Amino acid sequence: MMTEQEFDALWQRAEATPHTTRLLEEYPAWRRQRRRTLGGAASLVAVTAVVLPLLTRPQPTVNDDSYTVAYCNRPDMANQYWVDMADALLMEV
Amino acid sequence: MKRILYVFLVMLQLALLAGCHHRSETPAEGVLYQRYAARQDLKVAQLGGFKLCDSVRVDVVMLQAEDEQAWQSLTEEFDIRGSEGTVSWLGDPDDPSQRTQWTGTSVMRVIASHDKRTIGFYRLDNEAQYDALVDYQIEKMKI
Repeated sequence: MMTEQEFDALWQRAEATPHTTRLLEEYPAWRRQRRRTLGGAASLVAVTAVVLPLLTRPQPTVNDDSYTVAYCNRPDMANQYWVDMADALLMEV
Repeated sequence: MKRILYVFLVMLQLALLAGCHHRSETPAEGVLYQRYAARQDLKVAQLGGFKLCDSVRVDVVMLQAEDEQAWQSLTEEFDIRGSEGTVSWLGDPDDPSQRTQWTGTSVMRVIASHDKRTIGFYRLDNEAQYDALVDYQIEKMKI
């Protein structure tokens, strides 16, 4: 399958000669190929756009069904400690 | 073929929107957390989405004093009276030391425990969260 440059060169040659019929027949095939290439590129972009946000999605420190400890100024502390404390305070009132 | 390209472009837009949505799930550092996170005499944590029931979650900020001196500074700052037991009030979300009343807008349910030297700030933005917090406490008391 010819490239766009080859097609342009062929087209210029065809314009200079009366035998353009075959060239014009080839044109749709070239166009189809170009569209296929564009379609492939678009699919790649779409798939990347779907997968990339999932891979780079920020994960909270802990995330289960009941809580998320998003930030703590003491990274060595267990997240469950804070959840239990939040729960315990509610029980005390 | 054009139609397929349009479908891909629509998918692209949806994927980008989904990406933005995912990024917004992790809550930003709250003002309250930022205000105290640098203090060495306090342990500070921000809990996002503390589950009260299947459909209601709230954000909670916890301050815990390392020692009695740090706790005294907190009690003065938040005007916490007494020296034992637990104190609770509804506070202004921008300045939780200011006592307020429930009017249907955002408030902080503040619970301070002398014994634990800890203050919990439960942010309530709507009536559903307010009711769920009360229900949660009632349910826990039954256990």
